[in-house]
Amino acid sequence: MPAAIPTFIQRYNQHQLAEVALENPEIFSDQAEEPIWQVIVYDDPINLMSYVTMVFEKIFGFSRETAEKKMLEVHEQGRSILWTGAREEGELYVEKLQGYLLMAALEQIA
Amino acid sequence: MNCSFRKDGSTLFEQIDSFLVEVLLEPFCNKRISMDIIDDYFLQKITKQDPLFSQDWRDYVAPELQALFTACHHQVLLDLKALSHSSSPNGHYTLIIPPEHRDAWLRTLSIIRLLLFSRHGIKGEKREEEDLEKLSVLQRRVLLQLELFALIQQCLLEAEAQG
Repeated sequence: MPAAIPTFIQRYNQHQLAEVALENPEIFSDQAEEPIWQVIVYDDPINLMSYVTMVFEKIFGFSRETAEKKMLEVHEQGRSILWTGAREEGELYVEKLQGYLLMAALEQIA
Repeated sequence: MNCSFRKDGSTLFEQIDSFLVEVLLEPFCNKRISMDIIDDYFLQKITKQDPLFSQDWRDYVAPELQALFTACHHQVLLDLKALSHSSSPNGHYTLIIPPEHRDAWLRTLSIIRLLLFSRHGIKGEKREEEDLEKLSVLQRRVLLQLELFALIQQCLLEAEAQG
């Protein structure tokens, strides 16, 4: 004989509550999170600073100010992270940057 | 050599003497781009990661880049062919780069600079007059080419900024 359901539970619509729970399944999911990748541009002896700025504006749609800031990071620190996200999109960015002879690579964030 | 911008968006290089034309055309004598140097340049950073990554790059990305660079190089060669036929009675030449060719030129000038740097072991730092004397004649000629291509690229970037 089934155990009696406590009366306080019966006051709730259980189907409705189950639907709400399914909206956040990742909380209990066993699946690993998708890795995050970053597009990095390294300093090189070939390209002019103004050229690198133009390429950043063109490919990422940065303002002149942001593009110059990123270009200076490359020049002074040897590298700059230009973009972060999913691998597939990152690969496209790397290929576009390489199409302008910029030394770009995709790296996974640990 | 003078640089100016036309109303139609073209960039005009005038009063180019025959020596500069020779220096300008020389790196374009090889009609095909050497992809080995370009591949090595990119792989310097890529191979630091997963080796599979660099194999993927060789298999899928490198051929696409080669097709892109070849198309750009071909476009530049056509404009240079027009330059070589532009001699005026005073022996000066004119190079016209239309706005729709600008992107191909910008990419190709970087490629040519990379190939020159790589083949002649020249580094990118600025040199004083006395440093130039320490270089061989060939290296000085290559340095002149590198600076000439940088100058052309700079003019094209100004044209790009002007829209």
